[in-house]
Amino acid sequence: MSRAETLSQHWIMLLALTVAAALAATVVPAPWLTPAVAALTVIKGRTVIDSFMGLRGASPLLRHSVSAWLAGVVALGVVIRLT
Amino acid sequence: MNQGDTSMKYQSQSVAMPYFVFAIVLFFGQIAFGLIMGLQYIIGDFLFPLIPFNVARMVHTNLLIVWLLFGFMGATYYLVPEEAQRELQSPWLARVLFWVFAIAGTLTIIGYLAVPYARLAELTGNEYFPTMGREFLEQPTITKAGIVLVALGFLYNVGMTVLRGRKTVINMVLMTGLVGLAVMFLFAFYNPSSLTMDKYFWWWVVHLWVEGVWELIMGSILAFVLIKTTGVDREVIEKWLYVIIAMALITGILGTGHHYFFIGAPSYWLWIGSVFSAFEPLPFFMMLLFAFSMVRRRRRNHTNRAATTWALGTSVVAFLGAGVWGFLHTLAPVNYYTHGSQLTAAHGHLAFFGAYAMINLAIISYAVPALRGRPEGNSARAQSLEIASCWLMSLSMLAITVFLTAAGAMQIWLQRWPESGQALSFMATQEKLELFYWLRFGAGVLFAVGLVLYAASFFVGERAGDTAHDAAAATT
Amino acid sequence: MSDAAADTARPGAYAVPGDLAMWWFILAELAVFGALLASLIVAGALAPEVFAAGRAGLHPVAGLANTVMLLTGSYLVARGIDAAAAEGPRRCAPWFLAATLAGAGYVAVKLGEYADLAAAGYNLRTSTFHFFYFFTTVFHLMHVVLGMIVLAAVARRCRRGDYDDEGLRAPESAASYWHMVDLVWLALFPLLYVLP
Repeated sequence: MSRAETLSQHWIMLLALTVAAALAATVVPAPWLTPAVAALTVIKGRTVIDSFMGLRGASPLLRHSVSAWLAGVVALGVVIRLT
Repeated sequence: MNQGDTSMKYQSQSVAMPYFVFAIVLFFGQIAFGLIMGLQYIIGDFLFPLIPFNVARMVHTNLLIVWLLFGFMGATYYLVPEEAQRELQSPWLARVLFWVFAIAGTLTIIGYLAVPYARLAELTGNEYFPTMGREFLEQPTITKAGIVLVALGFLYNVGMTVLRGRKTVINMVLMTGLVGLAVMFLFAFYNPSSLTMDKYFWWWVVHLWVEGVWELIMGSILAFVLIKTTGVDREVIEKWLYVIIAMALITGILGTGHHYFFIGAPSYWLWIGSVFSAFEPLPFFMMLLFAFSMVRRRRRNHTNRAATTWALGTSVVAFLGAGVWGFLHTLAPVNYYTHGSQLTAAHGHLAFFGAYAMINLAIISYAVPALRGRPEGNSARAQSLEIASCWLMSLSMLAITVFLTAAGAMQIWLQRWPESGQALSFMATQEKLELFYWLRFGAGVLFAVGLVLYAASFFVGERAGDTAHDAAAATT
Repeated sequence: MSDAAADTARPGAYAVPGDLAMWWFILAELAVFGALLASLIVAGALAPEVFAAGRAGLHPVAGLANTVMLLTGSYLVARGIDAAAAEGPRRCAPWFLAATLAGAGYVAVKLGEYADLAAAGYNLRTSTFHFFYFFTTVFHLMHVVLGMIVLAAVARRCRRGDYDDEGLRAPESAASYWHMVDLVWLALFPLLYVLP
């Protein structure tokens, strides 16, 4: 599969996950909503970081820094909302 | 390594000289009044009624601002022609404006000292357009109008030079900073009767100068000195300058919020001020990395080592003073206790010295020898003395800061932290701080010695043959 | 900043996509946004009812449209880099311009939302939620606009052939900045629009 096709697949997946996150608020039972949305956000963010930004093959320090930002924000959200 | 590309290239750069000289003269005045006040903290009636504390403080801070402005103007007149690769639009205008600004500034200071402030307001017709009586903006309205006229002439002069010459990133950033400086000063004329509104816009002058547009001026002067002394590609230096000024503006403009916590502005400023000022150290940290990395990657060993020392020094002390000591007390819950304590004075001293005094001393150190026909810098002996003065002034200012920080911490502990009724009164607290004030005064005396050494270094080794070659020999 | 990583162009194998200076800027921006998001999360936990009430007044479809626009923009930018890697910097121009159009769509939707909310009487001072909603989205919107300007400027220079001998450093720097703006929105979107 060419890189262009991979990017297109990721794009479609991201759009689907976005709609899923928006629908989750009406479908998922309340206690599971925060973890579900957090998981969707992590998947989306990682896809942007690795695929679109192209950090998969980049300097690990940089990739980990940006990933840590995403993980930090999402983790803080989950911890604070669930406690 | 090659040493070309460093002498004064355009005749009109020489108009910078009187600006630099007068800046240093005023700097001496500022330090003298600083020492007077340092003693007044301990001996309350020292020189009273000749020079009351409030007058000494006004003269100390006003001299600071004015000498920094003279330094910035000198720096601009020196570097703009060289960057634009053409002579200054009008050297004549620059010389006239120097005398206008110098005479107006001197008369204002004499006014502060000779008559009571209220009388000065009366004499200068403040009632027709009241702008006086606000910290740092104490100048009579006519002086303020004079400053605007000088600024307009100055901006026209350098603006035309830039527009008609080569447009470099350094020139553009410097011009943006200078135009911003002039525009923000216009809020000095806005004097609403609501105290909240008054303070709100007062900070547009004070904060948006020192944590906004002045950082652009500092960044561009630093970049210029680094290009000249390290020989690193202009492209590389300019790229980092862009990143630094972008961060300075993003954090600095919204960082104004840390002044809006308790003045009656909407409560959301607690969030904005805390978040954005937490990142105000970033541009200064980047400037520090930038300066050291450029010097490490230098392509020439410029013989003016003193200028390089000042350039590196300003990045370090600015980061400590503006960055670290600023961050110490800008989070709203912290500032609730530290507001207006000696901690503020500690931060103010190290930040102003590190960022703006030292960048001026750096460009003076680079430009004045060139203006006096020594493009390779002063003699080796003179430079050693100057570098020693850099260390002495930096370390003694750091000492002043540490002592004031200790005083501030104790002040907060005794006067702010306890429940009301148990807290010490203001004056009772001041008595407890006396030891720190003595230590601070001692450090202030050392600082004054450092300043004398700095000025003296320009006159050391003036004999023929005792100039550049010594310095060249010393570095190789 | 090591010498090797910093400023020497090494065609073919990049330790980072784009310029290191740009990445310093991106990381600094992420840090600022991170603190802003953390404040938003904490403020939301301190006043959950205020946030729930405020959120109820937002238009969920608008939030969805915003996300779609930014993700599409990011996708187009990534395709531009892919095309440029294969056939030279000039090839990324049309993709970048298409991405700025997606950005313009985002700006239009956001301005529409602001107009609706303002007409309904909401502003920065209505509640803590509204402060965070307006402040973080306007601050983010300014970054979207800056990203659009950067993309358009780089696209123009790509088309002129300014980068023909320089590899992909400039296009990759612009692309990375745009992806950062997208990434921040991905974290902001659920906090403002989705979670109760």
